[in-house]
Amino acid sequence: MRFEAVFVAGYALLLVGVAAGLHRLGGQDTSPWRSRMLAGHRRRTADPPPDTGSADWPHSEAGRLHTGIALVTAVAAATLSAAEMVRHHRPVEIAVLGAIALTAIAATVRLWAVFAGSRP
Amino acid sequence: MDSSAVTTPRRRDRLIGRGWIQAAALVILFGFFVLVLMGYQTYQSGPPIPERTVTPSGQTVYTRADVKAGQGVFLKNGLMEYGSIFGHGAYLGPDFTADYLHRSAELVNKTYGGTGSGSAAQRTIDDYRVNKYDARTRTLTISDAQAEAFTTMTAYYARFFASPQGKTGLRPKAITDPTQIRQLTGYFAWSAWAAAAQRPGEKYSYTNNWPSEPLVGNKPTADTVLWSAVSLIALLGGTGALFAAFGRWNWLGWHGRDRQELRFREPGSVGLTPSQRTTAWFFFAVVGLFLLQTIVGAASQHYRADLGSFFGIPLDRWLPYNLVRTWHVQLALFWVATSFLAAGIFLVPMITRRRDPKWQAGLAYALLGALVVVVVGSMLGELAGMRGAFGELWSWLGMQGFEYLDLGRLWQILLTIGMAFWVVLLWRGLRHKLATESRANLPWLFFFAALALPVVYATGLLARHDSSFTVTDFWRFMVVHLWVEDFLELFTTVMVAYIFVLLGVVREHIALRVVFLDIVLYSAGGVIGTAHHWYFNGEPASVLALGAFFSAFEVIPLTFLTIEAWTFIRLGARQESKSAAAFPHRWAVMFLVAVGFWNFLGAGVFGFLINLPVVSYFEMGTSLTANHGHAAMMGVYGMLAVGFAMFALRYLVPARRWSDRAAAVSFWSLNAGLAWMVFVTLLPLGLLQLYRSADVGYFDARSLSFVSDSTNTVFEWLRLPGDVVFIVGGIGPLLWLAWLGVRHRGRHAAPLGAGPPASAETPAPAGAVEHGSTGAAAPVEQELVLFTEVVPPAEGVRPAD
Ligand SMILES: [Fe+2]
Repeated sequence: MRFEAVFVAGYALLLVGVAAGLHRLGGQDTSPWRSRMLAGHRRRTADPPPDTGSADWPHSEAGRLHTGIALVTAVAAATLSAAEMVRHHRPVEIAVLGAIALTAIAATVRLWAVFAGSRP
Repeated sequence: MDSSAVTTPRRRDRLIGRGWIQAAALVILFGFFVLVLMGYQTYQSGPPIPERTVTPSGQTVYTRADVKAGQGVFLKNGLMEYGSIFGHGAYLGPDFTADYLHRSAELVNKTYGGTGSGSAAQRTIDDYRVNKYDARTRTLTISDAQAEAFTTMTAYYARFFASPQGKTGLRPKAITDPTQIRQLTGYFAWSAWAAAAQRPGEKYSYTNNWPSEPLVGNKPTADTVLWSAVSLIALLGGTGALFAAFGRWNWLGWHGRDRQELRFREPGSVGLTPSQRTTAWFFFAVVGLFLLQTIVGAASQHYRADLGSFFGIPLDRWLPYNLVRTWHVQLALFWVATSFLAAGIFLVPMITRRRDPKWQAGLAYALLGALVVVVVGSMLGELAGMRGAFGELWSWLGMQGFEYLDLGRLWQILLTIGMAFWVVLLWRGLRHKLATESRANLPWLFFFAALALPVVYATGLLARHDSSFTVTDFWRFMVVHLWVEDFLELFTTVMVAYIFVLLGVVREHIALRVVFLDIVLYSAGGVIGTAHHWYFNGEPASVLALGAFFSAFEVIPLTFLTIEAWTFIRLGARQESKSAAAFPHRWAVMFLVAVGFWNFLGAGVFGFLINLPVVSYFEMGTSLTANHGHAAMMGVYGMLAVGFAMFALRYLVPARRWSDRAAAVSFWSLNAGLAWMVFVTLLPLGLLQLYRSADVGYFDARSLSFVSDSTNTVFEWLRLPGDVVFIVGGIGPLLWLAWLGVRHRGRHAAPLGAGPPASAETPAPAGAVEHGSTGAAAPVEQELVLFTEVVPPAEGVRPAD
């Protein structure tokens, strides 16, 4: 594999990881009540507020933004590895870049399903 | 109460503990004390500019006057917006310090016998590293080989800048005057000398051995490595300590017993004052400038993808890279600042709930007119200045040339006056409110944060084109870092906090604590952290150490306040569900959510990625800087400016014309386009360039041949779809909404003071729980209707504190 192909393969793989990470980060529950920052306060207060899940607006939208950006990142990974296959296509390069492109496409499809499904 | 209201209005009590104020004051004092010390260091320890640089036999090669004139030539021709000096400037052209250093060292090496000779390498290193500057006679002696290289390099730059066919991104025949070329070469030669000659008594150069250049023995210093490690530890330790502290003490005091009810009013039922209605034109200007900024940005981007021509058109004749790049960075500041000014004007009547003072709307229009004059005047000045107009007055009217302070001094002064005039407008509007408020409460903080904007921006006037570069860079970063990264950020925090308070979704005392926390965190990290721009521009190692250590703390508020921002919004979510009328600011809040995201990614992650001295050493001036710059500037300030526009336009455009769909398309296109730009082009290119710089050398990583090689070109072209989405899908709908704003300008809104028949179903809001204190103190005038009605809990439970 030539340097450029190795670089693009590694970078595209990193992007797929970033996409997964961003999506997960968006799903994090950042309830002010459950926040570690409020651990001390929580102990002192008798009645907790009515719970708001991560599906409530606008938190749901924060998660959606993360998923949206993750989606763009996954598409970017697929595009980069596909473009690189056009430029460099020795068998090993095709194999590696193709595998990564497929992974990126799978991630794209999954993220799209989540993104479209969460439309308010 | 009635009698005191007539004589002297009693000030409302402070809503924040004394400890917060003392902490903020202490940290601010400490931060600025260290900043002043570093300023003193800058004047004391910068590299000297020798009166004469001579050969061993006493022949003059170049003089102090040449170097200073050379800096002038460099600036007025916009070369800092083409390439860089000491690593500071634009990223297409070479870094002229590294360029001169590498090329001349190669020539010297060849004179001494080249690679075939064993001693040539060492003799070259000695020529550059041994500091032969005599402080007594203020004379620098260089070797004959170096003097010979100077002559060759002068001829080289004469060819480079006078190139008739362009192909460099500069205007064809940009600089042809032989005197100017010699002065320019003198300037580059001096900077290269400072980059390699050892500081008296030290083993490293004036620039802490920057740039990396094996030919002259330049490699990262021990300080560079050590303080990088310390910086990492500071980041981890600082974050841990802060989170631990927040777990222990409930500083911000969120509480769950808040039972008050919010009823959002239909935007159309909120009356607007004439000054608020002027902002329709402001926001139209904002979007127009934004569009222009992206178009010139696309043009400058095109040079990176194809240096030769713009689809067959010789763009470089009239719109060379350095001109479009200048406009691109200037317009970024202009449109964002215009949005902030407009948001301030829009917010004042909502804060005071009073009618405008006399002439307020007229003055606001005058301000907008003045802004247009400054924007158009400065941009034309830059165009004409780069083409040699204005003679002696070039730095006043034309291209002053410091990256981000490109506009001529006249325009710079007018812009400062404009901002001061804006503060006067705010003062006129806020006067009565301020008289009844403690100076530590939100209205005053809003005013102080606004007042700081012209004051800090004015420090940029101390960057003079004829000062030593190290000194000019000190003042330049007072604007680029301190003004943009700290004081705009502070003003932003106050504005956003205030909007949340006015919307009723956050308690005023909680918002105050967030603002004070912001002041403490930014004064600790951000003020001293300004030094993270001064690692390698001629400042001593102590400044590098301070910058590395304290700027690590700057990342903490970026990520931390993001988490706080979520909780801010969450508090709103809970109460929103109680309101019958839909929350009208869905998309304005969405843009704030985006601000939080990009603050974390663009400013926090991408910023810290290049903040460690040892990374910065190889990275400076590469695409990784552009990566951070775009993700942070557009992601944070750009999204915020658009969010402000969305907020105000929601009132200026009648509901039946308003399109949530346009807002949605704009929101997703801007975010997707920005993410594409960052992940497809800027980040991978930056990583490649960083690798090249550490592997082969900085000179090579910044050379035109590397920047425009085929790998880079592919990444540059792949960016196109994202840019199209950003411009067409992102700005198009925005332009439409802004146009609707101008067309309707809130004329449909309810008449002032009358208010909607809100009392039909609920008791009148007569001075909403926390922010309506004037309601009791000044009953003379009927209050303006606010967009949210806060209904206190039925049992009359006092809000917990
Ligand atoms: Fe900075």
